[in-house]
Amino acid sequence: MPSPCREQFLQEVLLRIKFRRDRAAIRSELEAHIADRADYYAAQGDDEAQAERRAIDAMGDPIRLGVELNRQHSPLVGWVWQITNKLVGVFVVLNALVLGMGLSSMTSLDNPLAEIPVSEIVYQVDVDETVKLDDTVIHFTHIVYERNQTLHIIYEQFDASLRGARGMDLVGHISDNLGNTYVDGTGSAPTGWRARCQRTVTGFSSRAEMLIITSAGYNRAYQVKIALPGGSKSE
Amino acid sequence: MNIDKGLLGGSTVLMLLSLLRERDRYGYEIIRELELRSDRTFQLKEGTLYPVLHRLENDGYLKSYLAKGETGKERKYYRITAAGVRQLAEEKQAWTAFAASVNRVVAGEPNAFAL
Repeated sequence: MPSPCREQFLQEVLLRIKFRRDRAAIRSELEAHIADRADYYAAQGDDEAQAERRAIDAMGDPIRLGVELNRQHSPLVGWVWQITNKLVGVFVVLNALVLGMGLSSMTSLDNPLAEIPVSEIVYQVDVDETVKLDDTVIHFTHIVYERNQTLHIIYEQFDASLRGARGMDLVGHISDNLGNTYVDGTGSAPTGWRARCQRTVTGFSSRAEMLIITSAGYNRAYQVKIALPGGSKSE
Repeated sequence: MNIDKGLLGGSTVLMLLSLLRERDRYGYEIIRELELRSDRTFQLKEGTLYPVLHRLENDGYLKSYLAKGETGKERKYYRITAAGVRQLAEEKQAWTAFAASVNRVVAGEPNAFAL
């Protein structure tokens, strides 16, 4: 339960955010920060009230913060963003219909491998690597490399608590044994307690012999190394 | 030495993108890391971090997502995007040029700042 002081600070900020739909997210982000800072001061020896007061004071002027945040959350940007998201969804559905994919698109959602034309595949590696992040288990199953230097990492995501995965791409940074790191690409992670997911990386080196997936978040660190037949089959 | 100028200086984006290039972090982690690495040189009002993070996200340099930290509490993490990595390279270059110019002036070299 936030203290009256904390609540007052948050209200002062949120009052200035005109795009109401963003208020909850801003609130929880700022509240988490104050809580973390208050914990820090308490660990330094402050009593609870003092730790709370110092944490709020450290945040600065709530009115100025609210005004500055509001600039980044204007209703115009917010609505454009929401409408764009909806339009992308409609566009994807229309594409599926136009291409006459109907049922097959539903199966390919469950099996990302089905979306990759066999003639384009340079190599495919079957993998059985599992890592755990909080309550989420990630099971890497396939690596597919295409002629156009696109690498697909296909994995399953389970939620061990059975509350349903957050539909979030939890695959970390992608690199290879040649020292290249890859940030361009896309990821998809459907929601559900068990979801088939895919991370796609473009411009992946055909000479790479090892794929390295690293996540270095707080308590979420893992590294997976997967041997690739790169080099021998490079084009 | 304390430099109290808020998170508005030209080097802010450079520092934020650099920290996020290392790994995904949430706001409080970023503030703590800035504090530790700069030996508390940057005494900033912590709230001022968030408008900058949100702007960088609006600009497409960062992406945010929710995840649980070590305490099991959910936090909003920021991850640098490909555009962010490119921006970081530009900011680094600009900073290096700027620092070199200042150093030349301080060292009393003529023609500093001249092209």
